[in-house]
Amino acid sequence: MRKISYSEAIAEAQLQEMQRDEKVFLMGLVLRDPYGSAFGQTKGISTALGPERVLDVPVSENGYVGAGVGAAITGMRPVVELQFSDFITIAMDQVVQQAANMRYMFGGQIKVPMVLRAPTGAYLSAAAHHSHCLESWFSFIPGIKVVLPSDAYDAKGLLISAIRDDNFVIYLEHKKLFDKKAEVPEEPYTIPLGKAAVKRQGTDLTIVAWSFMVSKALEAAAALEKKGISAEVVDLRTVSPLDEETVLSSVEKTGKLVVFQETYRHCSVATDVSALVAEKGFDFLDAPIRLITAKDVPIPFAPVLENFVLPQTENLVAEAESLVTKARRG
Amino acid sequence: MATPVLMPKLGLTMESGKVVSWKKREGEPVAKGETLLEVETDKIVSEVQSPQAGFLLKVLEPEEAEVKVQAVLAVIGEKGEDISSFLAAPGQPSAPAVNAPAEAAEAPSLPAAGRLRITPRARKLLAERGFAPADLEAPGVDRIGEADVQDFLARQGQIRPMSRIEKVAAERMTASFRDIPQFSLRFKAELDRLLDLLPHLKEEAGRDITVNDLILRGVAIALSRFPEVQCQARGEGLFQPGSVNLGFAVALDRGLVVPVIRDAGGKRLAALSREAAELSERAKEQRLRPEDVSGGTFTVSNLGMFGICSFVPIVNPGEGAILGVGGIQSVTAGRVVELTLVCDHRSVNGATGAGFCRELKSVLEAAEEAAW
Repeated sequence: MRKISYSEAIAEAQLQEMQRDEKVFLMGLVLRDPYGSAFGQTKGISTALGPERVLDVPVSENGYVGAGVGAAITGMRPVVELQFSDFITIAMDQVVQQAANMRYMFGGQIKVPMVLRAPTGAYLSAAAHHSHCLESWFSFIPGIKVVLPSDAYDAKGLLISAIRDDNFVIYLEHKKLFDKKAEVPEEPYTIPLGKAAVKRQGTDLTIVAWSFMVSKALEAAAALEKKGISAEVVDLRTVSPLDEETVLSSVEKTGKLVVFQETYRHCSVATDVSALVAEKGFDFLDAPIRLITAKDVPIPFAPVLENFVLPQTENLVAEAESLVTKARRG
Repeated sequence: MATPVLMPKLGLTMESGKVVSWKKREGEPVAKGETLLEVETDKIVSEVQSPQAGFLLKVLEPEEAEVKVQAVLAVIGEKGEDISSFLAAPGQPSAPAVNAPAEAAEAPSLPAAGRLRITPRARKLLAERGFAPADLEAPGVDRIGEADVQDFLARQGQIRPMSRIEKVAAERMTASFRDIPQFSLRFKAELDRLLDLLPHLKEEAGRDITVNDLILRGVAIALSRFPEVQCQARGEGLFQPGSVNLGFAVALDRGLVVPVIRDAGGKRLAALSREAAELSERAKEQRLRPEDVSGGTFTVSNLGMFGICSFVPIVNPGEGAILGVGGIQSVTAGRVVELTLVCDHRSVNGATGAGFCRELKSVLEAAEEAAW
């Protein structure tokens, strides 16, 4: 099968959904060709379908995210892009107060079939303003689905599901993944939201990860295999709603859990996953749950410092090894 | 640091013990490891040593007292120490919070005094197998995990449920042993002539003919002549079967089955051998049909291949007798097999059984008929 990049998969999903449904349109900063968005996620769409369905807007996050919400509740299916997910802070009222609440507050008389796409994550020496991972904030709010694809195949299938979903979806694309290629079918396909995937089978411990950390977890699992440790990697894919069943059944099998999260620990998806397992999978556990997360400081610009602050593959290998070795002690 | 002396758990099933006698009095100095008292369970009397050096500050349980496992018996410490926390609820298992520092500090020789750390998975596995965490002794382990429990369980032996076949066999064997007055008749048969014929018989049949096939054939012939040995006690009547349905015991991985060769009396060696082989094959693959294992009138059980000289089997309920076959023994006279006929004395008497034995012996020794 042909291989395309993560950003090409995102562009293809949007183009195909726009061809399928004329209510779907794009809105954001410099989405039109030849620029085609900061990482090429909309490349070719304005050329193929004309500029009227690809709206370039001024740098005014609160304004154009609000315009997206307005379009969604009046019958369109907007896909709105933030150039960096960090800037969602400017549009927080539209996201948290309006988009998330409206369907409920109007008694189901309106829907918010909108996708808010935004690049997320660090490991790029992009400094503190451009390195946040904010998925935990939005998981906290009822009424928002939060999706984080970890490869090009998932990127296309999850984005098509997000566009077809009648609810407000935040779709976070990792900057480190844009140029990563994978086999992606040409025809449209969907991957259900709220369903995790076991990306690697294993028996000794469960590593829960999502977004860019899945590729690091898979690297770690390969390194662990050489040490005789069989790690299972669960890719959450959607952090809200959380696929409890897949996480619990994996921990039931392995007895050990490491949550591998790019960002800070407190009040995060990682702590939520560990609470889930402590609450509903207590009897499965054969070791304390381990969380591997970023240190609690703003993400540094200097690469050496950034690497020190962010969780690395080697940290995961070492933690997993100590966890399994202690349990095997006999 | 005051340390409690606890009633030890001296056996898996021990729930409480009796204080037999105190070897130290309150206020006396004690060395670490010195005997403080003797306790008694329903099985043994055992000494309890001091977990640390100091003074016997308080005796909480008098002689003759029955005390629960892990309950505080006494407190060891320095004079003047506050021991009120140990005095709150005598006879109760000690509170973990009180003892945790002692465990961490300097009493590794007294794991029972500390809080036992065990993972939820390990705890659940233990509970499923009917054990409590306190049953494990895990010195040097900071937290008991699944691997420790697996080790522990492996040392305990285990009960597995019986397979359906094993359950039926157990019920039938018990019924046989309990309800049937059985007697046994031992005899020997010389097999030289038959065994000399065996290579030829194999060649003729174009397949493997076993010693057991020869025995089955001989038994079938002898049974047609002495059908009385098949006579069965049924309530207040005696049932005489009209045909020879010959069962032979087949050992499985888990259990035993007795497939039946119908009308064995009229079948020649090659046919009998083929049928026995097919039934054994089906038995081992667990593909026997109900009709393959019902209606038997006599059973042959052969342990010759295991090097058994002779043995006394148990009559298969519903049948009048069973024949136990030992291994072939080379003696000066030639090659001999020891056979044991076990009969239900309600329906078969000694003379009948002996008549059958004599006939079987002569059939096997003459060889011609059995080889046919």
